[in-house]
Amino acid sequence: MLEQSIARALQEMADSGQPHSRVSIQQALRDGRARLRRRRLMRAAGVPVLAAAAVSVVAVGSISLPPGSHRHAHGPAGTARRFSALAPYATFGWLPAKEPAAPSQQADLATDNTWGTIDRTVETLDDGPWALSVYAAGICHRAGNQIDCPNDNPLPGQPNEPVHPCGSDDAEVQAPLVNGRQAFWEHNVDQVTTVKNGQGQSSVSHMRCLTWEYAPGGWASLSNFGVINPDKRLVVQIASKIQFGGRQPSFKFAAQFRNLPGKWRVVPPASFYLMRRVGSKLRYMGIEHGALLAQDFTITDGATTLGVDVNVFPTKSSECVTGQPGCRVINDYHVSARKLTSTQEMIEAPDADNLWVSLSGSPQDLGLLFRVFAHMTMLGRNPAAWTTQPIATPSTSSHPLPTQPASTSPLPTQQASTSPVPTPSASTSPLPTPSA
Amino acid sequence: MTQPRDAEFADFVATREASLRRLAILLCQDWHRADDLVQAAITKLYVHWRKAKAADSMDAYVRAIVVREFLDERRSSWIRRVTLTSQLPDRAAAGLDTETSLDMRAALAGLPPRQHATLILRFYCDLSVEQTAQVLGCTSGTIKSQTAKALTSLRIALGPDADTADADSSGVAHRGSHVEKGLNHA
Repeated sequence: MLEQSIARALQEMADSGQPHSRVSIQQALRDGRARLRRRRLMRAAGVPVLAAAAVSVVAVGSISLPPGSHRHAHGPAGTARRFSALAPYATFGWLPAKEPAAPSQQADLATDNTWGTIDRTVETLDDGPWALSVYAAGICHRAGNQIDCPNDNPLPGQPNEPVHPCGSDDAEVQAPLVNGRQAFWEHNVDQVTTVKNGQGQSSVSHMRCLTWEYAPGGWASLSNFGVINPDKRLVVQIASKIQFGGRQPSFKFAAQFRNLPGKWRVVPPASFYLMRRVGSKLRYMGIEHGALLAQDFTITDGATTLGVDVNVFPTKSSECVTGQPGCRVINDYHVSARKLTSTQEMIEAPDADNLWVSLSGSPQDLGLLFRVFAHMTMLGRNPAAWTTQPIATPSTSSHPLPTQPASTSPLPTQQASTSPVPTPSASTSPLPTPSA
Repeated sequence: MTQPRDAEFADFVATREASLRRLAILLCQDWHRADDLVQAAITKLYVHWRKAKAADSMDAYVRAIVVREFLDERRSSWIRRVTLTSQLPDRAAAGLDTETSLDMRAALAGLPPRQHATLILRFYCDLSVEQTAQVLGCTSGTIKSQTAKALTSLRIALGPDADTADADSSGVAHRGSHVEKGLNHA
C-alpha cells in the first residue's frame, strides 16, 4: 500500500550514505553558551552571584520610579538599584505588527543587578525574537564608545572580565538617541545564531544589538535572536516603547512554602510565564490578562540555596514506587530523587496536584530537599488560586525543620564572600537620584 | 568540557547525531541544509537542556526541536522554499536510483512542509497520531487531516499505481507530469 511505500522510501533515504558531517558539537556549545550568556540564564544554585543576590534583593526593595512615568513614550523611567524578587521590572510596550498583539514574556534573568526578559510568542520551543537586558544603576560604565558591564554568568574556568551589554567584543557604534538618551549599536558575526547554507549559497545572520541609557546611569540592551539584520529604526522604536518600573503585576506562584523554619527568602525567578486560563487550558498570554507564573525560582536562607521548579504543564507521571530507594511519599505525593549533575541533586514530584514540582540543590543537601518539600502546599493549576507570597510568614512552627548548621550563617558574610561583582547599594551609589 | 552540563550535552548529541541527521535529510532533502538544521537544533537543545532532561523522552524532545526548526525555516523564507522545490532534491544516491524511489522522493518533496513532516513522523519515526500532534503542536484531528491530504497528494502525484505499490520497489508509479506538478505547489 501507499503507506508502506512511503515508509520504505523514507527508510531508504534515511539509510543512504551520509556524507561527512558538518555538525559541530563545539560550535553548538559556543553558540548555546552565547545565547545563555545573553539571556543571562541563572540556574538555581549554579552561579555564586545568585546566592549573593538573594541576601539583599528582598530587603532593599526594587525601584525608584517617578510618579506618572508608568507609560513613558518620552522621557526616562527611574533607574533600578535593585530588582525585585516578586515583580518584573521591564516589559515591551510595543512590538511590530507581525508579533502577537499580546506578546507573552519570559524572564531569563533576574539578579539584583540585571534584569532580562524575552518576548515569546506561543507555546513553542523557539527563542523569542526580542531579548531585553536591563542593568541596574551604576553597574555599567561607559568610556568613549565602550560600555562595560559585569559578567554575571562567566564561563567556568575563565576570568570574570566585564562584558559589553550585548556580549560582543566589538566597540559600540553611535546610534540614534532613544528617548533623548545616548545609544550605541553592537553588530558582529560572533553572535551568529544560525548559519544557512542551503542551495549552495551561504548567508550569515548577524545579531544587531542596541544598547542605550534608559535612565541616568542605567543601561539596557535589546537584541533579536531570530531576525537577520533587523531594521535599525525598528529596533530603536521597540526600545523607545519599553516600559521600565515596578508597576507590572507581581509574580504568582503555584505552590507555597508554609511553616518553613529559618529565614528563607525568594531570589528573583529565573523564568516566568504569562499565563491565562482559556477554557480548560492554560495558555501563554498577554500581560493584561494573565498571571505571571514564576515557574523557576530560587530560595535561600543565606547559606543554602535551593532551586524550585513548579511547572503547570506536567510532562510525565510519577515513576516513583513506594519502597524504592530514593522514593518517598510526602504529604501523599510520590517524590523521587535523581542526580541532575555531579554537583546537583533533584527531587521531583511529577504529579503533585497536577503540577510537576522539583527542588534541587547540592548532593549534600538531599536530605534538606525532602524536608523542605514537606512544607510545600500545592495550589493547583488555576491562576486564581496562586499566591504572590511563595513563602508564607513563618509561624512558631509546629512542624519544625531540623536546623541546618549552615542556615544560621549571617547574611552579610555570605554576600561579602560570594559576590564576584560590586553590588552598589542605594546608599553608596554615586549616581544621582533619578529625577521625576 | 568545562562543566557537567556540557559533558552531558556532548555525550547525548554525539550518540544521536547520526539519527538526527537522518531525520533532517528526510525533512530537508539536502545535506547542507540538513546539517544546518541539526546544528541549529542542537544549539537550541543546549539552551533548553534542563527542560529537555525533564521531558519524558529526550529523543522525542530533540526530534520536536528539529521538526519545528525545519517548519519555522520554511515559513521564514519564501525564496528558499520556491528555489528548493524548483529542482530535484540533492541525493545521496547510492542504492536509490530506482525510478520508483525517485518518484516517491520527488512526490514527498512536493508536499507542503507540514504534510511532509507529518508523513515522516508517522511513517519513518513510527509515531502515533497523538505523538505526532504533540511534536507539531496541533490536535490529533489536524494530524489525521494532514495525513489524509498528504496521501491524496501523493496518489495524484504518483498516478494510478500508487496504491498498488508494496514492498517491491519496482511496482510503483510512473514518473511524469503529476510529479512535476506536485513539485510546484509547496
